Order: sequence, then C-alpha cells, then structure tokens
Amino acid sequence: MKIIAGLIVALAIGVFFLVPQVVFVVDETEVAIVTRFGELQGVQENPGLNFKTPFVEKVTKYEKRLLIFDAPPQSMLTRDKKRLEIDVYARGRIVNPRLFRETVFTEANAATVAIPIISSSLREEIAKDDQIEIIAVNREEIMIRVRDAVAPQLVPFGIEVIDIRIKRADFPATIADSVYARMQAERKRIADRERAEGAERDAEVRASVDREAAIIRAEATRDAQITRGEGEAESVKIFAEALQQDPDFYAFQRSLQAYRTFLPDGNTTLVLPADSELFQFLQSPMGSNR
Amino acid sequence: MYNRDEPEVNLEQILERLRNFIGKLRGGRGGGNGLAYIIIGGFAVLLGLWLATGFYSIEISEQGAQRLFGKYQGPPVEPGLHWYYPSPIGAKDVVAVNEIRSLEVGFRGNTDNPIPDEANMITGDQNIVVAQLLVQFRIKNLEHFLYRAVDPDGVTIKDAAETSLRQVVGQRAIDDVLTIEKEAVQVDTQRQLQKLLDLYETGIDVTEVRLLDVSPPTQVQDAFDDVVRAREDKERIINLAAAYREGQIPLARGDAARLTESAAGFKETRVAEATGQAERFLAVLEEYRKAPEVTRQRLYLEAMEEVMPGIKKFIVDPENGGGLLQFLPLTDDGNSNDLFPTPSN
Repeated sequence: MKIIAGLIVALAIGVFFLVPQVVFVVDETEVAIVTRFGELQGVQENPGLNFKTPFVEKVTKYEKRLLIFDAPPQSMLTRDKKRLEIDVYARGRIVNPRLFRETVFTEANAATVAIPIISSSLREEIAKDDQIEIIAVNREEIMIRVRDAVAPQLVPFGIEVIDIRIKRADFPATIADSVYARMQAERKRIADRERAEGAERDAEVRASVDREAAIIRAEATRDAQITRGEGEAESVKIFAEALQQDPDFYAFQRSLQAYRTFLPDGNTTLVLPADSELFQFLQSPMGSNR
Repeated sequence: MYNRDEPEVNLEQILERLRNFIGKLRGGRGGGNGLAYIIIGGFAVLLGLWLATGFYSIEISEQGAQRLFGKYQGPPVEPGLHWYYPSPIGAKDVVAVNEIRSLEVGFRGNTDNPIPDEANMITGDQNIVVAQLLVQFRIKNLEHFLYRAVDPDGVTIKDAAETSLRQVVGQRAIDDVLTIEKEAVQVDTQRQLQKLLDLYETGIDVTEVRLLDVSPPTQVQDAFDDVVRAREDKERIINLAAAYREGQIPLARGDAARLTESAAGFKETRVAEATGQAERFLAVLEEYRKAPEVTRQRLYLEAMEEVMPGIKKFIVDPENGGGLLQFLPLTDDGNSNDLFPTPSN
C-alpha cells in the first residue's frame, strides 16, 4: 500500500513538474515553433499533443487563424487630383512560421510591417484611377490589384494575404461643406426642372383643350350651315316642282298676294286710266268702253 | 462570445500538490499505512471530482465542439447531457448556433442614435447618403466559427458589413439608393457580405440584411424635401390642367349640339313651310283649272277690292290723256313729285 501511495506521489510530482517540460499542446487555432536556445528545431502545425526535449527546448505559438491588419484612415490623391479619405483593412495568415519568426517575431510586429506596405501599394493604385472610378466602378478591381501587389511583398515575412478591402472611401472632412453645397445646387436644379415641366404640361394641355374645343365648335357650325343649306335647297325644290305645274297662274296669284301686302299702306297714289278693265263697268253696264 | 474551459491554474492541481507535500512530510517521519490510505483515498476523491467536471449539457439551439489536447474532434455535439475529458486533457466549447444575432451598422440601439462615421457614405454620383443597416446572422459551421477567424462575430463581420454596404451603395446614384434600388441594395449587400464571410471562413450565415433608414444628410434635407414638393406641385398643376379639359370639352360639345340641333330645326321648318305652301298652291291650282277664266276674274276682283280702299286713286280719261301733267301735283304735300320725277310726253 505504501508503494501505491508513493507511486501516486511520484506521479503527481511528475505530472506537475516534468510533464509540462516534455509535452506541449497545440491548439486548433495555433501553430507552434520549437527552439533550442533560440535555434529553430521544428514547426508543429497540426493541433494535438506533442513532445519536446525537456528544459532545453522552448515552444512559441503563433496564430493560425486569419490575422487582421487594420490601417488607419489616410488621405490619398486620385489621378484627377482629388483627395479621398481611405480606410483599408487586410486579412492574412501565417503560412511560414519559420520565416515569420525570423523576420517579424510577433503578430503585433507583423502589423507594423504589413500596414505600411499595404498603404503604399494602395496609394499607388489610387493614383492610377479617377475619383469616380474608385467610388463607383473599379473598387473591386482596385482591391484585387492591391492584393496582388502586396502579396509578394509579404511572402518574405511568411504571411499570405487573403484579402484586402477598402472599408471606406470618403470625402475629406474639409470638403464636406462644398459637397453639401453641390448637392443642394443639384436638388434645386431638379426641383426647378420639375416645376418647369409642370408648367409646360399645363400650357400644353390647356392649348390642346382650347384647340379641341374650337374644332368641335367649328365643325358643328359647318355642319349646321350645311343642314340649313339643305333645308333651303329642298324648300326651293318643293316650290319649284309645285309651281312649274302652272307658272302663269302662279305669277298671277302671287302678284295679287303681293299687291295685298304692299299697296294698302296709306301713302300710295295710283293713276288709273278710265278704260282699264277694272272700270269697264264704271261708265256702262255693258262694259262699253272695252 | 464562446467560452473555453481552460483555466490557467487548475484547482485540482493545486490541491493535489498540497496533499503530496503533506504526504511527503509525514512519510519522512516514517508514518504508517494510515497516511498511505489517506493519500490514496484523497487521490481517488479528487480523481472522481475531476472526472465529474467532464459533464456538461447543451441546450436546444446550441451545439458543442470538443477538443482533445487542442485538436478539434468533430462532428459538433447536439443538445443533451454529455461527458468529455476534463481540462486540461479535453476542452469543450458550447455555442448557440441557431440563435439569430444582430449587427448594427450606422447606429446603436435605435435609428435615432446614428453613428455618422459609419452611416455617411458616398454614392456612385458622388453624393453623400446616410444609411443604417441591420444585419442578422447565425452560425452555419461551428468549427470554422470557433477556430478559423479572429473575432468572427465582432470585428470581422463588422468590417465586412461596412465594406459591403459602402461598395454596393457606391455603385448606385443617390436617387436610386433613396427610392427604387433600396431592395437591390439589401440583396447585393447580403450577397457581398456572405462572400466575404465565407472567404474569411467565419462559419457565419447571413440570414437578413435590412436597410432601416436611408436618407440624405441633415445638411441638405431641406433641398431634398423641396424636390419632393416640386414633384407634388407638378402633379397638382397637371391635375388642374386635366380638370380644365374636363370642364371645357363638354362645354364645346354642348355648343356644338345646340348649333346642330337648331340647324336641323331650321331645315325641317323650311321643308315643312315649303311643302305646305306648295300643297296649298296645287290645291288652288286644281280648282282653278276647272274654270280658269271665271276664277281668274274673281280672284283679281277680290284682290282689288281689298287693295283699293287704302289707295288714293285718280282715274283719267285716255282721250284726254295728254293733259295728265296738269293734275300734278296730285296731293297737297308737295312731295308727290317723287312719283313722276320726269314728265313724260
């Protein structure tokens, strides 16, 4: 029994003093580098339990996940000499821990190395395009070009660039006011145009309505005159057909009617010969003077 | 957001060391079997307690990931009670993968609390627009979410969301972003954001991207409002013009109808009059033809009878006709010269 207890005690001592010197754990998110008095012995990229020589070998762990390189916003000049405030970030990972350890040593240090490289490459690419292209058209393309330019420069540090993104491309604060003024002017232009178009449509519609109304009236007048003419023509025709039966009698009868109408107005004086037919019986019952 | 069961100093380890230390002291004095039993018993109890820390439960909507000496042992563990090697041998991460999480871009809490640096962005026609975006997401790949990206649901998704929104808005004119293209902005932003999150192996699934508010900057709000007013003015004027049409055309048609009807009436009247008079003439003519001489005489005399009473008459003998002029002037008024302005021989 003492032996068992002794073994347990020995095991406990071993576990807590020796084991950490012999084994080390590499997490899913890490890579490990083993060095002996500063001299590189090996790289362990697979997660799990690993062994090393106690006391003389030392383990350093690096991030296996994507590293974030976030550059501060910088003012950059476009090809058309306009300033843009550009905020860029990059994602990369340590693909060669050996090189990484030899050159930059820590992740924090890697950022101080990578960010200036990213910034200067971006500055070059920004200078190749006009402002409008950077904002609207070519952003994706520019980001790919920057990534392709930066990638080989970070290979010597054991870093692979996965992606570079322009997070923001904004007007510098100093010109914001002039941008607002431009926007206001543009809105005014649109508002004026809308109102003018309204007035234009109004004039068009009213003119066309007046024209249509005039046409409607004119056509009606025309049709009315035609109808009146038809009425008169028909009336003439009806008279003519009837009167032609005996023009002489018509003349006689119509003349009598006319005499009735115009003679008895009180001012007419008529000189009649005594031998006119009217008076044939005036002097002789036999109509002698005839 | 996820919790790793890896305390740096382990309670069990400390107790173990302490007990060992005491054991050694007593052993040095040549203690009996009792001490050994205490050591063995204590060890067994500690071992049991330590093993008990391996139990853990996973709630519904959660998933668990287990690591053995740091190495992920897939696949993810589903809800229920589980046991896995306690720390430091094993480790377990439990994450609510199905819970919908939110990311606010351009505001915090509610849209009345904007963050101008995030919300103000340039449109394709170089205007500035204020956009507030709500991203909702869940975890579709626990292994990637836990072990591939740094802070996947923090800095990483925020960077990616801002980048995507700005890129998408940058491709459109301000008027489109404010009105018809709003839906398209959401769809494109979601697609772009998902692309980036997949590239960064975050294991995140974006379920919804919603623009909560898109508006012009407050500095130019009035100008934008005036455009809206101008459009309303235009509509109003066009409606008034349409009303003018509605009023004028029927009036003209009314006038036209009056003209046409009155002409038709005129025509009917004339035809009727003519027909009546013609019929009257024909009727008289018919009778006249039966006795033309007598009828003619009669008609003539009747007419004279009616006419003559209103007329001043001078009856002269044709035998003395040459002396007609001596009777002139025939009336007293002196104007009767007009009747025969030139003497006839």
